[in-house]
Amino acid sequence: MSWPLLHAQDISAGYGAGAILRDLSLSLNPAKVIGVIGRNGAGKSTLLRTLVGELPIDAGQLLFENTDISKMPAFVRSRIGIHLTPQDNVVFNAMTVFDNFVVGANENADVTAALNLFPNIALRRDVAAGRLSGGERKLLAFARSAFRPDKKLWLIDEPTEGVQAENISIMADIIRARPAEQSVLIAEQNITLLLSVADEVITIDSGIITGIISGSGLTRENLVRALAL
Amino acid sequence: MMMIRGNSNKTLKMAAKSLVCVLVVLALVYVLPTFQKYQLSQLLIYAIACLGIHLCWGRAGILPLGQAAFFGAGAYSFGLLLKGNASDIFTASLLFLFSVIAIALVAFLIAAMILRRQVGPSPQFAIITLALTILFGQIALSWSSVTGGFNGLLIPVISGVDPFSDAFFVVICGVTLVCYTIARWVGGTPLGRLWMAAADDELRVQLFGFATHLLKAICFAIGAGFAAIAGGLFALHQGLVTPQNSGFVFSAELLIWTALGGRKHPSGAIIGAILAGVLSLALRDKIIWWELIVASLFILVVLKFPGGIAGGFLTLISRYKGNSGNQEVQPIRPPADEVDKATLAREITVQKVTVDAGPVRIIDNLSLDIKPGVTQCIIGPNGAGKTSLFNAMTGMMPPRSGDIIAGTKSLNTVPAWHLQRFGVQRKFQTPRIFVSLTIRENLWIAMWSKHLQRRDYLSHAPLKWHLDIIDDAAQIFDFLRYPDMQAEELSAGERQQLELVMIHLCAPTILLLDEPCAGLSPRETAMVADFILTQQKQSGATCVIIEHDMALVSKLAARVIVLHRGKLLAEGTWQAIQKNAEVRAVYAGGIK
Repeated sequence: MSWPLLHAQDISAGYGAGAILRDLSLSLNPAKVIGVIGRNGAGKSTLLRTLVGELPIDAGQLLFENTDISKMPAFVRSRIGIHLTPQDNVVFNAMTVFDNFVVGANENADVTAALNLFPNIALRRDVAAGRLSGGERKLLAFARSAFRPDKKLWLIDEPTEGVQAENISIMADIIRARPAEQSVLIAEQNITLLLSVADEVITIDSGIITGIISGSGLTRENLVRALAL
Repeated sequence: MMMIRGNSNKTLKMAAKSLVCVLVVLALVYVLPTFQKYQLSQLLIYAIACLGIHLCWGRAGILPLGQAAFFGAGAYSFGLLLKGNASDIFTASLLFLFSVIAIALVAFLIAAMILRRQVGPSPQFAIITLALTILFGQIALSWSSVTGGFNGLLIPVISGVDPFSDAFFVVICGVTLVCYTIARWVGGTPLGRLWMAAADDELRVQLFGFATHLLKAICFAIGAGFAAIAGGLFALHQGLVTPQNSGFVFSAELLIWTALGGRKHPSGAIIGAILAGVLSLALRDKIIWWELIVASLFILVVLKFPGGIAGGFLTLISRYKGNSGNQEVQPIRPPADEVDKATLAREITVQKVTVDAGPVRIIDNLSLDIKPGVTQCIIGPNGAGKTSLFNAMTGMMPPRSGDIIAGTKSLNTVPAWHLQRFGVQRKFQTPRIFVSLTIRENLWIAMWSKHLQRRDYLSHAPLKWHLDIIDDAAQIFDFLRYPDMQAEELSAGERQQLELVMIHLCAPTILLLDEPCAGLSPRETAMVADFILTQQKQSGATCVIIEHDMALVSKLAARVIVLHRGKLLAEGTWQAIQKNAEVRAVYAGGIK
């Protein structure tokens, strides 16, 4: 019997008064890269933050490897392999770049390899992460997430904000070189990155999934058109 | 006509509310036995001090740990003044007023001095107020020749004033209602909204041209004035003031009561003080572990109802009634701005600027020729020093050497709230807006930056101001059509757009935009670009944009500046830069 890595059934979630996600259902298979696009305010970040457990689910059910994780707190979800690279506040500002990598790493982790993923970051090894520029902080957060070997589902929220093109293509290489079974759900506006890594792109609007683009349909024109609707 | 009806409705409501208050007070006078009226007076006196905490903590985000010092100062100074002077009611009232105003002034000076040097939420200020309380308590205890030391200061009797009389109770009720009304009213004025905005993001308020340390000091002074009023009344009520009334424990109690009642709303201060007092009077002697129960209750409220009792209650009401929203008002145009046109500049130059962050050299002897009146983009690899350059230009990272000159004046040592006078506005890479305010209030604060004059701070007219740019922007940015939505509910991209609209409301002449389209889809990016270009064409402002999306750079920029490792690598037209081999070696550029 095989089941999807992650299955969300009619989940609703949001902040305080208003629900942002409304009865959203979604299935993710292992070893896939799924892009999430949608106009701003559509609920992309909310979806990722809900899946990782940062926001509680108001209704519906969330299954991970066929286990109900709807009520599981975020730190336990992290242990079973769900990992989020958030959009903002991405690094520990007071720690050095190197220490940022060491936090949360297990003993088998190759910190030096992770440090060397981006040349800018390697150069800044002993600088406090708060002194990095906005783009460099995003790179650090991405690299730190990338080298965590134990994750099964990697959720990435807008990794390319403020990042130059060379580094975006390094990000794409890293995603493609991930362990075989790992799945990635990436909310991104950069179509260039999505086209180079995604197996499938889902479009979301007002908290529901409005379409799935995959296979030969995955072209710049189609993605731009989907975003314009 | 609409307006007139609205006003008379309001007056009617006010009259009805006042009538209800008078009836309630009269009912209490007749129903309650004398001793309970005396006890209730004491709780109302505490409530007045709590109202001051509401203003400081609930509005301006200053945690006042020293409220008891001002309470004690009010009580002791009033008592001492009475001792040396005649004691008829008229003289006593004058002395009372004098002591309250003097204490508020001292509080203002202390706060203005300390807050001038710090931006944002600062534990230092709370700690200094705590130290003041401890110091004051110690003086009250040790300087016994004046304060009576441990035994306290006996307050002389004023002829005709009897704390057990109905008249005294009515006066206390009246003063409480007046203080409550002041607290509530000031919270709704532009000054009150600016306090709330400063509590959210003080630097952003400063960049809109407001000297936030003075605004916060005013808040602190009003809070201290309330505490002094409460202290003076307490002296009359008890006939005795002891060091306990100015100590740290009392400060903490006032704070806890305010939190319990709800620090965000003035009614919370009154509910908290009365509830805590009544419960403790009724149950303290009957239950052995009373303090433990109070502590648990406090923890429960803080965890489950962070808005306190008043906050929880108001949320319930709004859920039941639905969002009533603001009354539609006739928008009015702000008066012509008072900004001295002479200081406005379109020319901004960077001359041999070096910026260090600790051991790292971020900008290295950089000179830039920024063309006035056109849009130009700064591009460059991550870590090239682009955002740091903006930081240096807005006083956040003062240059180690070199000059940044707007018009003819160096900006190197100009405080953040003066930049608006030069027409300099900045949009941050991570959007900075006021999340605890509504979208409408966010827009107000931006509009006030140029047009708010001293007399407007306490007027309601600025709450009707409207500029055409908002209508233009609402055509493009959907969320602006829901002005009563909390800004907290906006997504990251919408926050970018809101901040962009806000800075345009200040009619800037020099615009620094740090990745205005980050996190936006290609279509939304194009919409934002159109907005920037349209506004720039109308205003003729100098516009500097940091950007990574080459599609956008080619669309926006007449001129491109390339930074690399804190130095200028190249500058020129977009076509020239594209062909430049040096640039291509370090920065390929891509599109979304």
